[in-house]
Amino acid sequence: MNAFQRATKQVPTTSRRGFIGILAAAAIAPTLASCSTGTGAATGGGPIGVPAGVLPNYVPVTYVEPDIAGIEGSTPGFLDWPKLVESVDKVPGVGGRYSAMVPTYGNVVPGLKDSKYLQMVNKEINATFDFQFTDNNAYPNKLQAIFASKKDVPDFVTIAEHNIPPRFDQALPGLFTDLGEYLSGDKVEKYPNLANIPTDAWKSSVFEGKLYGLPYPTDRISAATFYRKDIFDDLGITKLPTTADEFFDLTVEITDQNAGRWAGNDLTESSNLIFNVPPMWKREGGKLVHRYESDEYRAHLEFVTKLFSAGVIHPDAVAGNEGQNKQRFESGKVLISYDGYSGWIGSHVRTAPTTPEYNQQPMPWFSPGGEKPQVFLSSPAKILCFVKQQDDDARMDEILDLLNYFAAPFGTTEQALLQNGIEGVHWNADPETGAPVKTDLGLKEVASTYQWLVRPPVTQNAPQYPDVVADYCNFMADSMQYAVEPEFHGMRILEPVKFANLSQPFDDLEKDIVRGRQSMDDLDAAIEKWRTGGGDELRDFYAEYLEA
Amino acid sequence: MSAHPSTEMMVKPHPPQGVIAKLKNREPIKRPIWQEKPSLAVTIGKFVTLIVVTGAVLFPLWTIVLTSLSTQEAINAAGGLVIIPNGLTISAYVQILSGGVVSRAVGVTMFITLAGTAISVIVSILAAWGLSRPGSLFHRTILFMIIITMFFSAGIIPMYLLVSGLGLINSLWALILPTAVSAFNILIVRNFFMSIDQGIIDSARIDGAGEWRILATIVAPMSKAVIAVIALFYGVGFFNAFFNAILYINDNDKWPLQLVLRAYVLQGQSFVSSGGADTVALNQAQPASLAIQMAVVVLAVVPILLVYPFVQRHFKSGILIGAIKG
Amino acid sequence: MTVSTRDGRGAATQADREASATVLPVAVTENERSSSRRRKGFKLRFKQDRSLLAMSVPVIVLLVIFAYVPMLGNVVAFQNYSPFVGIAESPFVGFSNFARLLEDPEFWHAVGNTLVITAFQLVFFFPLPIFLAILLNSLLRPGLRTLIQAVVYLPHFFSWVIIVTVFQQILGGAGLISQWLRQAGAEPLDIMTNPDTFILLLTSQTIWRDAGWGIVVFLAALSAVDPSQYEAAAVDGASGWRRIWHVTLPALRPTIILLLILRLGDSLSVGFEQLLLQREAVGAHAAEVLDTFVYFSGVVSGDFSYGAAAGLLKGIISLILVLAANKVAHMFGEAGVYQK
Repeated sequence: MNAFQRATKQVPTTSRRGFIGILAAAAIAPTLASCSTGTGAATGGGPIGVPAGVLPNYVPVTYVEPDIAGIEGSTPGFLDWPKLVESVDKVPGVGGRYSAMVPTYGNVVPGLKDSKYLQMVNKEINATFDFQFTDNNAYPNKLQAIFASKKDVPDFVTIAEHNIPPRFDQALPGLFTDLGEYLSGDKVEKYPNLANIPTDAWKSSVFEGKLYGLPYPTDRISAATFYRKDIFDDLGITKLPTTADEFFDLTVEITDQNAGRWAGNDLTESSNLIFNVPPMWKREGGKLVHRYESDEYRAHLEFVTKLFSAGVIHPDAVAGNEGQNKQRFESGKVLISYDGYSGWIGSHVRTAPTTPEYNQQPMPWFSPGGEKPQVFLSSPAKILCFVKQQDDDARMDEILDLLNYFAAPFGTTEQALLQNGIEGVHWNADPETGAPVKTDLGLKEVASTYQWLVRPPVTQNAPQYPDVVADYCNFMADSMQYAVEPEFHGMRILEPVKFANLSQPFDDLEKDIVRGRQSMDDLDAAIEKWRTGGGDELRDFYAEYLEA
Repeated sequence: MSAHPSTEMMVKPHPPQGVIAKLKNREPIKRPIWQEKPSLAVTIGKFVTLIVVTGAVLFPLWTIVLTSLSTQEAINAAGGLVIIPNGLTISAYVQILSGGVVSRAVGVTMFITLAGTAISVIVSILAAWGLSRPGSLFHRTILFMIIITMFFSAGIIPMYLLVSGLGLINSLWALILPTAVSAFNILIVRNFFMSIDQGIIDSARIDGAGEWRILATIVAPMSKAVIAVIALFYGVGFFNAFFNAILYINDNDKWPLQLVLRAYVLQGQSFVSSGGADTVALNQAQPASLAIQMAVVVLAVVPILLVYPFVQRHFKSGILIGAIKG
Repeated sequence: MTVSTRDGRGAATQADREASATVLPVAVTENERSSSRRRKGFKLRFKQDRSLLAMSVPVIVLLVIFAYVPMLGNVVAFQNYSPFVGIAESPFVGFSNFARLLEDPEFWHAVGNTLVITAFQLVFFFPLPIFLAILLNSLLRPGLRTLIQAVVYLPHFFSWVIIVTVFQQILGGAGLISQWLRQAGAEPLDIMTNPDTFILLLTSQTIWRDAGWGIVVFLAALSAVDPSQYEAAAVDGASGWRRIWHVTLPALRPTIILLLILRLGDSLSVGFEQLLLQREAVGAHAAEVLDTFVYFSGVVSGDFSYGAAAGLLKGIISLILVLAANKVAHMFGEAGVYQK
């Protein structure tokens, strides 16, 4: 019905004039088939929360008991390689062919034509998946482009939440499948591995009241402040800080500039954790208070300023070099670093051959004055996958069976196949632990692919590092006693575009204040400007969601 | 004015043989008789400056190459880029080159660079000659139209819709055609053409030669130098480009080299995916991520290093004639 | 004054061309030639110039398809455009995107920074390759010259991420020099994070990356200078410095002017990526330029209309600057980017 479809339909015509005309049409009228949305505001008719009945039922299944059980959703851990269980009793595919756009984070792997892994797994599931690996940094650009050209949208599009494009609400109804039709309520129970995904993660997949996304469930706590326990021990530091002041004193104590050792990377995020600064909003007496306006934010900024001026932050971090945060931490140039929780094991893997004594531990939680700490839960699904609207129902059935297969949890043959490839080709069993050890071909070809489409609940396993897995899971389980849900936890709220520029001045200001280029007085002015420049409006916008 | 015969000679750009022969012969090994020996102060100043300049380039280059060849221990000890060799390994290069993706990408890049450069150079030469006669029909209009493209560009979305509309998504031609014309390069060639001795061309015209024949048999052979110059510019452009490949290429077996190399850099610190460590290679040393990043830098420069000396020879005389006349 | 300067040669060239033109069918000077052509009928002119026109066709076709057609998309600058709604249905808002841009004091701050950096680099970066090229050219050993040339252009091929990392590693607060200073009991360097001296840092990075590329272009121009010209100048008693002034520089002038005009046209662009990478180190106040401003205020938030408006504005200013600079060049008897 729209100009775009008309235009693309005509492309094969042979008349030259027609061809040029199409060029013009394609350029001027990149219209999507989104008939229902208006043109101006980002959201159409007011706030829509998560309507009752949209979320799939949660029916947990346990194929293999974890060695360390999850507590209140904390990540369970497996210390040994388990005996695998089959969770799907039929071949899921019926020969369909699918394209999927996924990010590249890991190794650069060969495409379908050259990859035994993809070919063999495709054969195993009886469906052909062709992955479009996309540079993670250019993801927003590519999304923008393909969303404007419906025929170029692949069947599956994986999007990290920070890459969700502006005005996404306008794209959804015309492009992607409302999965609620197939998975809401008890419909999901037909697919036990999908029903095994926790409700919070599904909630994060609801946009504009509809279940559009497939979640990639993540650790309930996504980051912590880590310290080098091995070096702390060498320095004779046994007492870890329990207040902000103690933390400050510690950073001064362990800094030795002449030896090229600083206390930390940019510790802004660590301070953020210490001072319980709300991620975005908090409620005070029924009224929404934004992070920027909160007392916690102010105290936190003052503290970071103190850290920077004390010279305990590594100069490269002061200069904004974040790319080498891990390099500095792993080589002991800094002893404290804020990092994603999931990077923990990776650091151990990387350092094991060269620094066997390497021991990275998360700093136990504490509050500024020693009160009971708070830990804000992280987004339940930081990555989502969307399914393009399909023309026929049979195809949709196949897709759902395949998704059920891909969501097989750790300890199943399906998960092991996707994670490691084929035994004898991509991996061989370790004679001692039985765990798969990749062959050269496995190293070359196997990377996250199918698992970008939907993921089972997160678990932790690294048979070669049982101690690290135990530390990882125990710390998170212990942290759950401090867990707090931030306001609007797990909700997908798409802000109108006009608010998109509100936070940039604060990002800049924050960096200026802590580096002494601007003062706390400038903060007051910035808050005032923020309020009048759209902040108050933004508050009203969110307040409506409180009621919804 | 113009009292010296030598200045007369400068006035007319020479026919090609003369120019090239002259260039070959003019590198004076011995000091020309007319040049006095410079004072000691000047000589010292000169060499100090050159040493500083070369050092300023070579030192960082050295650390980049060295880091790419260093072990994780050496990088840890240095806390970043390595300055003094302290444990060498080629594992970063092995990791990148054994990926299996690189060899295919080299082929793709070679195709794009060669085909792209050939097309670009040909259309640029044609246009430059077509516009080299001020006063010809539509001369100014076309020139202006070309110059405008230097300053106004299209957004990503219209470009994508266009490439998609032409059916070029996932085709290597999408990496060639949209960037095939550079206004800057056309201006350079055109400048050069306009400085060619009009007499030779006019006498050819009297002999009844058409513009095509004049271009092919007289102008182009005389302009090898400027052609080498823009071939270098276009070639480097095609070789370095990656952004269009991200947008227009879906299959990674059609990725150009720069995109593959870039992925290695981005991957940087994260060999292990989140939520479950890779159960691999736990006891074998991984190349340091910094070493990989630096190896990528080195690998991306090597082809240019190999090609440059061949271009440099022509390059010298290339801008020269364009510059004389202007 | 007998030493021939560029003007002398220019005049002779013109005369030479006219002389050769007289024996030709189109036996008129350029000006007359074009005006006489204008008097001729379109048909005749077309017939006369059709091969020249045909030669321009491939470039015209490529530019129309790949530059002009997508350029039409810039109409979104006058809309409140959403890619999901399309150009056809996005509402027109007149010049409001331009107004928003021009009314923002931050925009003017960014423009100010941009122009200061451009001016600074025109003074301190632009002449440097010329100077170095002359220096290199004065080297008598071709081997040494080739070797140095083969090295200095390489940094041009390094990305800004690498360059900033290398600078940080050497000049940063934990860098090589700072650690030496610390061990000697002195204060470490504060170059990488000092907003007051940022423009120096920025320029030295630009010099390191691109001076070598620039040298090559000028060296190429220099190799054209006929040695007998130096000889003649020497006969006239011109010293080494005077020979540079009267022979070398004039030979470089057209190249210098061409690059200068194009750089002027690019006044509003200064190293986007380079500045973005160092924004945190020195703060937005020092590092905000037009491109980063537009990036943060429009592009990041997906405000395509705003981004397009900024692009158009920049294009118009660039075009005006180039045309003006070209006009000035013509006034001084130079060819400039293109001839009259």
